[in-house]
Amino acid sequence: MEVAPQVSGLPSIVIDGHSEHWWRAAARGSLLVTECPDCGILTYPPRRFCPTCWCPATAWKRCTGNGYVYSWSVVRQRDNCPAYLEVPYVVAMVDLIEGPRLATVLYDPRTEPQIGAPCQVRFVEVAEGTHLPFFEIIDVKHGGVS
Amino acid sequence: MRREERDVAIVGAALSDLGRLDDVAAHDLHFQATSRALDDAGLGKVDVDGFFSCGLGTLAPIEICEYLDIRPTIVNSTMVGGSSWEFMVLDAMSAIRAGQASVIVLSYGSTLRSDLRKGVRPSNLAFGGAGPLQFDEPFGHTLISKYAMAARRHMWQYGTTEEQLASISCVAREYASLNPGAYYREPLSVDDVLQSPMVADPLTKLQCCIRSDGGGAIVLADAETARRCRKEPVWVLGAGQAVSHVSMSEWDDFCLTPAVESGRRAFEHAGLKPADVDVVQLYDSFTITVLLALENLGFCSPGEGGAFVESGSLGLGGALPTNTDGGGLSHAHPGHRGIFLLVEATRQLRDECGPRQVRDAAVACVSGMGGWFSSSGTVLLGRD
Repeated sequence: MEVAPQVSGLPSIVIDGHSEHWWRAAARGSLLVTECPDCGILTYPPRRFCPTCWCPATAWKRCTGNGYVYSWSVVRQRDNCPAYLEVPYVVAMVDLIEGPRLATVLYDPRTEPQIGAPCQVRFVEVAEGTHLPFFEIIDVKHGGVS
Repeated sequence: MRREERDVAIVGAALSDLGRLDDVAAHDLHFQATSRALDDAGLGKVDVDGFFSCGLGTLAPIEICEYLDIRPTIVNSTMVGGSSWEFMVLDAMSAIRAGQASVIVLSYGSTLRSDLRKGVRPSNLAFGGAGPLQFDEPFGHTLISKYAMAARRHMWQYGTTEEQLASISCVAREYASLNPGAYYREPLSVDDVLQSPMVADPLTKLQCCIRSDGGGAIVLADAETARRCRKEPVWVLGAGQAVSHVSMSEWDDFCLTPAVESGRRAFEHAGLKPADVDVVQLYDSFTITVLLALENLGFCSPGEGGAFVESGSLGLGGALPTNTDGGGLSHAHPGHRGIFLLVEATRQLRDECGPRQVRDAAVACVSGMGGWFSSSGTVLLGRD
């Protein structure tokens, strides 16, 4: 299978033979991390090997997409960021319930984000064929995780 | 490993021209800084054994050495961000103790401000998108927003307030008003700081370092050389390095920076405690950088940084005078500020600071933070 080296709309991104699988899964709405068959640790950013125990192979694991906000900030001044972003936008670190922490963007937050707020992945097509995992705060009034 | 000997000293320290320098190349700032620092020491170009520098030129630091016509026997171009010069002090100390050099120059020069004005580079640097960065880069986490997220976490965890963070900018400006070399010297109130434009919540513009052109240099030497230099030696008592993360997702606790480890290593190396320190120079890329360093180095307890900075402790008459030149927040910040911390600490210990002099300063702590809490280098200095 030919590995497309570039990601549409994100000219600096260089996909490699391993990460290519992550990007294809993202296009299908799946959020993947890597799992070590020896020590069980989940790793993100994903790697071919386990950084904890140096087992030379890992397996892909699909996550539920549920997590909690670890921290956030509203970027109000545009400064050499990807073309699809317009200020103001909300950057965040989200801790998946499975363990790993992700750098992400909060999708259309209606109120000021809260640290600890439960959230769920929402893949957004930021350029043709390019899907990124953003996160949406779960509205607890409508039956979200409390 | 603790050593009692005072065998490595800073014997020269100087700054280049600073501020708004549209017509000077960064290379020439290196010449200014290095030549002034050697002159300060009473040494010359021919005395230089080691030359340590990073961030400019091809095959750093060879291009700068060539430009200055310095022929070093050893070089170092450790580049871990603004803390690189604090890292270099430990490496220089080790080289001198190993007998590989008697005199080592650490030099820095940058035209960040004029480069930004000319559009030579963007303010928020990008580091590409290969390898693990491809999972960071797409999300537009600007440098300032990374620091902002650390501030937000600290506010959530400990109740630190925006006013407490802002007070750090005010103290820096007070010192700047006493420093003729500082770029911004007009008084600042907490309100001024909080009303300045929001860059990335909760960091307002006046909580962010300024952009300057400028550089600096220090000269390190062995004890024998130090005795024949112009001024009283400022001994390197100990130093420590620590590194953390490049991906923010790999940083475990946003309230614990590598300063925890670099500080512990430096104090242990020197056989000192935070209570022994009379004056501190801390990297102040942003207000939160200072607050976290104060906690992580052990100058106050975790979570107490807010109360500590608000209490007046950092001011000239306070318990822990901090960033006495006005810092990156008011004095100068050409991108990687670590050398400025070392120059100011040296001047404090030599009693050269005039109106901003900390009386009877005998021990200084210098701690540089690089990247986005990615690295920390701590150095302890003392006079006889």
